[in-house]
Amino acid sequence: MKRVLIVDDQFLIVQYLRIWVEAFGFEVCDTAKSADEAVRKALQLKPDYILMDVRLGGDRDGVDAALEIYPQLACRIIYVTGSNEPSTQAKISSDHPFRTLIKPVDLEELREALTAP
Amino acid sequence: MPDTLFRELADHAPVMIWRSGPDARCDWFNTRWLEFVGDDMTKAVASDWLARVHPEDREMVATSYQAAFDQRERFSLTLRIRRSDGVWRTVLHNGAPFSRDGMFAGFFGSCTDVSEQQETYARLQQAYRERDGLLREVYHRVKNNLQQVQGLIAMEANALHDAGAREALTALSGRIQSIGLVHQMLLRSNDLTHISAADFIESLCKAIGAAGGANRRGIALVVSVEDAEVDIERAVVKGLIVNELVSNSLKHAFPPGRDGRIDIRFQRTPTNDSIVEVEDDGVGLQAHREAETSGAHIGMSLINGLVEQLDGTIEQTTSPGGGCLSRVFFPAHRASQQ
Repeated sequence: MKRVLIVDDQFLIVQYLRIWVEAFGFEVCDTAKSADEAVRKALQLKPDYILMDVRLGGDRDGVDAALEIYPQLACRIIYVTGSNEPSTQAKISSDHPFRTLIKPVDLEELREALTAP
Repeated sequence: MPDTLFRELADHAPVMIWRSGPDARCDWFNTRWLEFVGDDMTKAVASDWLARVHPEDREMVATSYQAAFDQRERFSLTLRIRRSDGVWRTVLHNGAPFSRDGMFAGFFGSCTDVSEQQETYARLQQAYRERDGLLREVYHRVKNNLQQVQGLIAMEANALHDAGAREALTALSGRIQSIGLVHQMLLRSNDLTHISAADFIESLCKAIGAAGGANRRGIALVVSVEDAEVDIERAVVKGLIVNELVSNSLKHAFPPGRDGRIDIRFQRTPTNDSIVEVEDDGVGLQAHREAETSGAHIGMSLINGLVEQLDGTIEQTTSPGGGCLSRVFFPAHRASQQ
């Protein structure tokens, strides 16, 4: 079973994503609410996918976390962001996003992102 | 310094300068001033400069000027004055008394044309008002949309016959109401980003009490909140937590026929941590625990998740009165960079 790490600083968003990720047949191996926690858990648990929020509590954001994880781990990073503002989009493209989803998340897009070859 | 140097300085300084004698009448202007008003020195000295001031500003200027003169105090006025081409310009007018041989000798003053800055400022103020208006409109719509969602849930609940399902939908409606209330409070707030904790918790508890039939059942909700400003995000989370704790007490602590009271307290520590307490004098902690372990409610997992979101901790103990005391500790909020 493919494993997913969910990174978001809002509990209710995490719960929403968890319910659907599990419904699509994936295992949620853990969740994280800050960039540092995301990096630590990603390197330790080696998930297949990371659902990554951009704005996180703390000094570093989701893109910073992804940029640190990416060279050390082969996993697909799917950004889930509340903002489709150009500045956020520009920051995301500085990484290697597998997909970028805008909140509120379209469930078909989430399924596609998790099942794409 | 030779006299010619002084003259050069006075006439070429990029600011209009005037001087008045002890009788408050102007007796000298620099070249910049003369160019601005389009007069020569003789005419300028002979004419009443107040006549050049915009009629709407004239009285204010005359009064302030005279008062400053009488008190021999500095003054600073922003006023409109007519330029030689007939255009009204906004100038910043500063004046200060000076002495000669130890005797009050009159005033020196300077004028700077600040019309462009004034216009920029007015445009910024306008933009700021428009931003406020838009934000209010957004909050208003969020609030209304949430109310419609509550309507949908109420309809659905009404059509159900299963008591457990109805209860779950009612609880859901209460949670949405507490989020809607934050937006209602934001509409009343000054900066549109922070709300008063006291107002919010007071209104929230009133709504929870009404939904749980507190009055009818003889259960008093007593709110004591040390007032503080809470930002939107944290208000939503804290509101949901209080909503769960108070609703739980109403639901589990008082079986039919039992009255009592629920205390809701908000305190701030000297280090800006905050403590929320919900205490009831109902049948005790055990009843809360049993309700939770029955698995029918998401209440406690919701509370734990939200408390953790704010890096807080929660403990539930038996209150001195034998009821349930929930104590939530939130460490001081360190604003993140974003």
